[in-house]
Amino acid sequence: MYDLEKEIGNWLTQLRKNPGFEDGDIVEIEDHIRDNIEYELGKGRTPEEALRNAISSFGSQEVMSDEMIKSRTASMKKPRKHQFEPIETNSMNPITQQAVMMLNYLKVAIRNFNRNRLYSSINVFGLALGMALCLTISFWVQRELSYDNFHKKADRIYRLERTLFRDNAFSRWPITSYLYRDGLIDDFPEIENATRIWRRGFVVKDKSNNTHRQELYAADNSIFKIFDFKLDEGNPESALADPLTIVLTRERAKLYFGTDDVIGSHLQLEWQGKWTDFKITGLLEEVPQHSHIHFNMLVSMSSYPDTRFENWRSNYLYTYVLARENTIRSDLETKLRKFVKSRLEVHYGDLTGPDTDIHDVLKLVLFPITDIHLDPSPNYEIEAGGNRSSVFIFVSIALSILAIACLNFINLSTARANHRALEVGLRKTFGANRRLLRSQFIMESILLAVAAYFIAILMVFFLVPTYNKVFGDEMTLDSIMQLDHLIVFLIIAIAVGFVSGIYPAFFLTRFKPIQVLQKKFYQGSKRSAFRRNLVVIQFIISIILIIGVLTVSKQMQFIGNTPLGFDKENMVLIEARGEQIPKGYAAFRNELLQNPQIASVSGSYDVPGDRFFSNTYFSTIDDTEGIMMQYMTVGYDFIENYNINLIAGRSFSRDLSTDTAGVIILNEAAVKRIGWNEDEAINRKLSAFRDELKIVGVVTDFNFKSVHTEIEPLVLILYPEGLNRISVRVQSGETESVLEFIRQTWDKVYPGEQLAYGFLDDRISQHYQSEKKMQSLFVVFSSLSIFVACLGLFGLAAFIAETRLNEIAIRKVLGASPFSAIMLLSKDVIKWMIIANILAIPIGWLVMNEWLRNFVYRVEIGWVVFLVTFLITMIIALTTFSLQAIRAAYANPVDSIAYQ
Amino acid sequence: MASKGLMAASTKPLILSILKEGKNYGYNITQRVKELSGGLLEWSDGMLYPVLHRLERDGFITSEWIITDSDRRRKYYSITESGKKELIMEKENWLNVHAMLAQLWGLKPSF
Repeated sequence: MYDLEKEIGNWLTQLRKNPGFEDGDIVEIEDHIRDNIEYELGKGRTPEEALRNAISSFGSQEVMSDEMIKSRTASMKKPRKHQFEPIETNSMNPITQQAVMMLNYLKVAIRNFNRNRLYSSINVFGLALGMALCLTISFWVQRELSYDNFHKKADRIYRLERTLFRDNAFSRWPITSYLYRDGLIDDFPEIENATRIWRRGFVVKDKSNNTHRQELYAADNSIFKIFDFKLDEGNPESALADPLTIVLTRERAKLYFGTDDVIGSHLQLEWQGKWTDFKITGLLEEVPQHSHIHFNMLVSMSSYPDTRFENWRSNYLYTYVLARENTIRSDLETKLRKFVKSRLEVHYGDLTGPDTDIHDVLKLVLFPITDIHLDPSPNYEIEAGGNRSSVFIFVSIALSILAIACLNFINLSTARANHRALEVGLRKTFGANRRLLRSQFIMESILLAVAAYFIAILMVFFLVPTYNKVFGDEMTLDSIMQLDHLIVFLIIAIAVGFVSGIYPAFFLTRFKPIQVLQKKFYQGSKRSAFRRNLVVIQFIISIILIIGVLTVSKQMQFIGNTPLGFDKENMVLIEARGEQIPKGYAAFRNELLQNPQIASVSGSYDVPGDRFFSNTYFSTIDDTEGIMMQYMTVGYDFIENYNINLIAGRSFSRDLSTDTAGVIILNEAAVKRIGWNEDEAINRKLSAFRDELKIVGVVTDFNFKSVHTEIEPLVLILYPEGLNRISVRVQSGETESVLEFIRQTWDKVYPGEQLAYGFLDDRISQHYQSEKKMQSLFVVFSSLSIFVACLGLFGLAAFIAETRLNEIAIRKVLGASPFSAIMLLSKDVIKWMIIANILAIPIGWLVMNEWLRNFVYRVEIGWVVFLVTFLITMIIALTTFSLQAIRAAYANPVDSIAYQ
Repeated sequence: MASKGLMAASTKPLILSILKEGKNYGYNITQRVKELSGGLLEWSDGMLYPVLHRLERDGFITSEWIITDSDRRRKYYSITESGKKELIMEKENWLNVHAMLAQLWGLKPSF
């Protein structure tokens, strides 16, 4: 029996196997075939014939299937004039094609930005901030490294320094005697030229006969040949060749003469007790900021007669040498041993002995001038230099911040990219190829990074003036906005964009659309592990920075509170250089003491906190060898005025007729150096300056230099006439009125003399300026880097909260409290922070211990620092995280469940 | 026997014209064509459907499923407004061609 239904079924099964037909088509075709069969049956055909005819009139399945596929793509419409011409990409030139692609990337990037405005802003802003900080720091660092580079011959200029071995230690002495220069030039053909630079202080008389105290240097004329210190006007070949010649800056000329047309005029200086005319032979250009030495006036070294200087052991000035081209520094230094042997050995008998060769105790060193700023000598340095370790630390901070910002960018980009997995899946389904998708992701990321770069540049324009204002620095924007800098940072930006784009690009495009569309993949734990690690790394860096901040603060506080051994508060220091001052001093002091707000007044040549102290040989009576010790020359009342603690003997007294110039007081270190105890020392004598000096007292060691260095042996020599500074101790609180009183008294006693004064504690705090500045910068930079790291955590928190929204919702429906939901989310964060702390603390400890080595008197870092660091990171991390977690916890569970 | 090209070209105006008479379905449309041509145009029935689908995609016709008395699902097509406009254009084109050929072949007196 012929089964028609079965035969139709077979035919339809054939049809279904053909890819050209869709379900609807098959229903339609079946209907057609059945109609036809019915028609045939109606004409009296057998079912077998009816089916055969119907199939044959229907035609070939294959041909029809092809047509069906075409019908889905092609159109029967005729092209109309208003229709778009299809873009023929092949016919476009490559540049236009690129531009079109870029435009498209830009369009998609902007769309994505708008779709997720919060995260995108965090992302771009974080990177911009990181780059801006890094830019600013890198310019600061670059300036620190560029000191003295402006001299064309900088690579051949050295400062001649001595290294002395004494008391079982090497010490560095950048000062030499007057005689070195000529000796060096005579002995070594490798030395092309040399100049002496001697710091001096003079009293200058201006055109209205007012007097001013002026710091200046005496220098040989070769200073202009060796260095690039320039003369605006005047002849650099001869300006400082003749005795009694002087060059000064326009600013000084205007101050003293009211005009800068001064060449050929004379300036009056108090010169060895007499007013002496110095001929102005040149106008100096301002010395650039990044120089290790600054001056606005120079006098000729030849003003001093050679006969004044016959002693090789009188070291007080700096000798700079210019080596000939191609001279190797170490070779020349070896040759300098000859100089030590032939010229110096005889004068260093005190250091050598039968077992000690001169070369073991005295070395001449050629110190490159470009290294002076970052490696200043602890003794007798010209100006407070920088600090190599702070440069290192700032480079580290800059790199850390950049790293944090980049990690952040990568982190947020990948987190966001996850949400785009769906988009990628759809695009792939519709035939987008993988290469295009990748470049889409990478280009988008690069575009964001470049946007961040431009924002960063804008930020720098605000950061630098703020920095200058806060720290009294003079970083200029034009030195920052150099093309090569900007290009380097643009390349960094592009690289960051590329790297952060490459991860999502390869990760997301690798997945099969079906997995993505079924949401099977982006909740995998592996994904968030990657980003979690990034956040942990960010926090490790931040924790190290926090440890840094806390340690620096602790050390600074320690320095601030270290007993100096004298009272630095409420002390006004009046500059008292010049011939007239000692004569009027007694009257001036008496007038001041009339004011009840003034506790005491003393005069002295040196005061604590000075950068330099003179030194000389002191020898005991039975010992002709001497001991080199530093000394301060002070007047009566000095010990009392400064509240220095006397531990044996007595202080200087103007009531004792025996206490005239030449009575001395030692500090403990000096007594120890000589080998006595305190009581033994009293009434003994030391000889120095071809004189016998009687010891009347011993004081505790007080920090007369800075806490950076250990307290050295010191001799206080009574010399009431050697007046350079007047120290006025005022009662606290009434400073303004007392200063006014001092001013009036000064004008009364010293008419025509300019009053110059300062506060002792300000002067002393200048020693710690670079640390203070570093501390503040440290705080600012660490806070910002932590802020950027928090942005990363915030983004991660948002992501986690979102992916676990369902879980939280279900828990809440089942009766969990919002608090337990927050705990659920925060548990992980606590875990990460503990890991980050464990990893960061040893690194922080090592780094900061290294920094602390700069100080002789230093704090222990201590466990409190680490505990506080831990708590800070915990609080910051949890707070950041909670902002998201709370939102998730209090969300209406219905919303998130219903959404799914 | 009409050539393949001519058949292809004429399918569209034929279908549109048939649908202009009213809603219709695939099998009936083929029957109508056969009826009209008297066997002159020989389509294989199956080739109708791709054309119908294409016309539908272009928006000239629309379709709907209707359950017939015999409980089968049947797809009915009807012409849209843009289909009607398209038909007018087709008609013009065909008449133009026809007029040209008629002139050449002297089927029609020239005025």
